[in-house]
Amino acid sequence: MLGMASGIFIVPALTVFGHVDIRIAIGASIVSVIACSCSSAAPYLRERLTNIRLALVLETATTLGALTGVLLAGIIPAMYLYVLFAIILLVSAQQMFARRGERAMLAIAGDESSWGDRLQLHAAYPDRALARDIPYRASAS
Amino acid sequence: MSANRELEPSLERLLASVLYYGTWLASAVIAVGLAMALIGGHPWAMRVVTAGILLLILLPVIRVTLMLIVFVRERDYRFGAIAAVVLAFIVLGFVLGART
Repeated sequence: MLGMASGIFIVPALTVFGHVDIRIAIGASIVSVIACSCSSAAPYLRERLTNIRLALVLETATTLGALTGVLLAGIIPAMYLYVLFAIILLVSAQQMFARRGERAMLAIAGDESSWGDRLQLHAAYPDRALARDIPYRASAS
Repeated sequence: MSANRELEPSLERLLASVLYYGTWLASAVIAVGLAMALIGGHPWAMRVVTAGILLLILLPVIRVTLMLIVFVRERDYRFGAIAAVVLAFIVLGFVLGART
């Protein structure tokens, strides 16, 4: 859960208080993100709460984003990285504030989804309280 | 698809163990490296730390590779292809990143 958030905290902390180069700070935050996400993913996988097929499909976008980052990091001067990072901080802050109204949206979404059907992303998660599997549908909205 | 339903939990368990023990191993290697640096400034200390960080970075790559192998073995070629695409992006990123 703190995957992205640890980057949000580590990068400003290292650059502002530690006077570390922003590229090194971003690298350090990514290593911490990997450590956090790998260790926290294990129990979710074991409890079958993770839809690994959906995760793999979404991973095509994240790795493509990482590839874009690799190409841009060499070209873009550090100054613009600060500006870009500031924009990302603002966007994620806005998302954190907006999250409260999101639940109703999630409940409505999930009816027609051709991608979810085509890739058979619909799955089920085990509900301990009900002691049975709850099926759910993957939707693009 | 019934075969998939039975195989998938085992893939999930496999990935869970890889990530769990992998994170522990990488953390232990980094800790050993840091201890070496703190105790006597061993010349290999930072190399050990780097090896631990490298192992940590490789964990997600190992995970995608395992997914690729299992999906292909399961004859789920569509998801095998998706895993291959993800792996190709990662390898390309490593290659391009090492050049710059």
